[in-house]
Amino acid sequence: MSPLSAMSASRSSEQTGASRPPAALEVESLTVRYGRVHALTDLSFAAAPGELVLILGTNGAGKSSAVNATAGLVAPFAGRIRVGGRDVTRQPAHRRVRSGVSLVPEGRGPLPGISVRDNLELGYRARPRGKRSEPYEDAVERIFALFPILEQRLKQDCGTLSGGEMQMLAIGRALLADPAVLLLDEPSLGLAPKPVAQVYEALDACAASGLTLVIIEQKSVPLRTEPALTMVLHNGRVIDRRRHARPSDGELAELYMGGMA
Amino acid sequence: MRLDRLSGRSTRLAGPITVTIVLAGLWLGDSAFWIYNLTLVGAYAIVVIGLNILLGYAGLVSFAQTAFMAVGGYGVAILSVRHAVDPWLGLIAGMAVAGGAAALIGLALFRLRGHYLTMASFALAMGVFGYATAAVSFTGGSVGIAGVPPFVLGSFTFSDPRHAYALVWVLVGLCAWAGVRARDSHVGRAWRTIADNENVAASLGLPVLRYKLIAFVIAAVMGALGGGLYVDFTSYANPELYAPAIIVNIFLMLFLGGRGHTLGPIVGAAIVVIVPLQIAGLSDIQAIIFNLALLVLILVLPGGLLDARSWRGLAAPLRRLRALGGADAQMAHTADAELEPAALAGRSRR
Repeated sequence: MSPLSAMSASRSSEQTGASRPPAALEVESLTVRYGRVHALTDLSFAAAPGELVLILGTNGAGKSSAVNATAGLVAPFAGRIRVGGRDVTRQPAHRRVRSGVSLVPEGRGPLPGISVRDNLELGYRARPRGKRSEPYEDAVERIFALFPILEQRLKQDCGTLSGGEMQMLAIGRALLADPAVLLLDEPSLGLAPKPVAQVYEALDACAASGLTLVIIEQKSVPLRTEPALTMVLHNGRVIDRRRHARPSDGELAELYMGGMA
Repeated sequence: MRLDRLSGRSTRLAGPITVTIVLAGLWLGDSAFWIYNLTLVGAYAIVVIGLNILLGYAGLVSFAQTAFMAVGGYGVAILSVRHAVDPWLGLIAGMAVAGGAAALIGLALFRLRGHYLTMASFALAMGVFGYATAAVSFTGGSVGIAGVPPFVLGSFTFSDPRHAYALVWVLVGLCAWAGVRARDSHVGRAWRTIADNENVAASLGLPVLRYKLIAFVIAAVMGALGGGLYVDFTSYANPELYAPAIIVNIFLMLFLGGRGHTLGPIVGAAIVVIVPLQIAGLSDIQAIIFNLALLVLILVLPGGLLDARSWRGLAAPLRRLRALGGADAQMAHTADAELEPAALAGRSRR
């Protein structure tokens, strides 16, 4: 039994009302511009509940703009974002968390001076009151099952964690908000192969538990779960899109280099 | 649910220390110099406690604190002198206007972040200073408004400097206490999260703008309170109280005392107000000596006088020197250039 199954079970029961469940996340013609810089142009995709979407691209390809706009941190220039069928495009970031979208930001978002325990509690407190029927102790227990190291580090200032531990804390913190969709901005960034493997093992467990995941990365990652959709971004546009298949490292290199011409 | 308190030692000390300061005033008895100047220290301390909440807790660098001091100061002066309103009401009106104005201005100001926010707040402070100087019919211009009556409570008048002293320090204690309560609440934790990383705060469902506004309004109300008390105790309001140099002084108070530390604003205000008076005999070079001393202090204790980490940082080069011990002088001579100022300061302390 996956450590996260309780969360997903409660969610799927909410969605059985409709004959065909709406997509957990639907992004339609999303366009992000910073002044005259066109960061992202016309990105569209949908993820059914429990699906995993992988977005690959080099620096400046528009990956972060895509997830930041989905999380509400950046106002899109155009396009719509729907979560569970509900339009959240105009919702500010802090309310979108309550709508079920959690972001693990690039660089893991350490909060130096705040203990691991308080970090986790901040995550739990992002839940809307209606979702707090599950006590904090039980919720955090599941996070410890996923990342045992966090239990040993509870009292530590999170500024003293290693990169891998901080990434695990950032994911645990986001999961405690009980999201329907978890967005991860380069979770492997700056980590050694071993912590990358640990982090992805946990993400595989999340995927198996029925959580909808959107992961962005620069290069291929040790993900066991086959993404339902893999897209490659270049200069803000999708240049490669595959369902239930990932480009090989060779193809990826080709796409990155070829796209430059 | 177990909540981790982020409180430190200074929290528990805040109350007793305030009581001690108030009692010390009674002991100082009729030393008019100390009573008067420590009263002004208290008024500034309240302003700086407000800035500490904004900058020390929420990480927002705002130069607008003097603007809100002016609202409090002129609130008391204009209402009590021109309209014969009770100075208490003038003070409360000033605080209310400052709080309301901060909420409205904050809505616009917090569209900006970082240096842009700081520059906009500086423009606000400069604008209020300019207005106070220019609006002769409203503020009395650079001549100001004199003859502000003392506070009255029932049949009791705070005309005796000792009464004013006790009043201001009780209010300092209350503000410090309120600051600690806010810091240790969920609001304080939200401030720290926002100070660390706004995007993470928003991703954790924290309404960033609302928490920034709360900090800005609290700081503004405390600024108006300190500014109003200052004007009432000196019975005189004029634009120079809100001049750019005062902004610098207020920041100095916070950084010298220790930003983020409960008692930092009080210690800092005391140093910036009292020390120049004590070395006034040096006349010409007084300003140079004082500012050199400040420079050295900031270099040696970047976190402020109350920052334990800065003191430990001071001890580290000392230990390194001791570890070198009897080693030849050349090694010490070629020690890391970066360490020199701290190491020198450390040596002179012994």
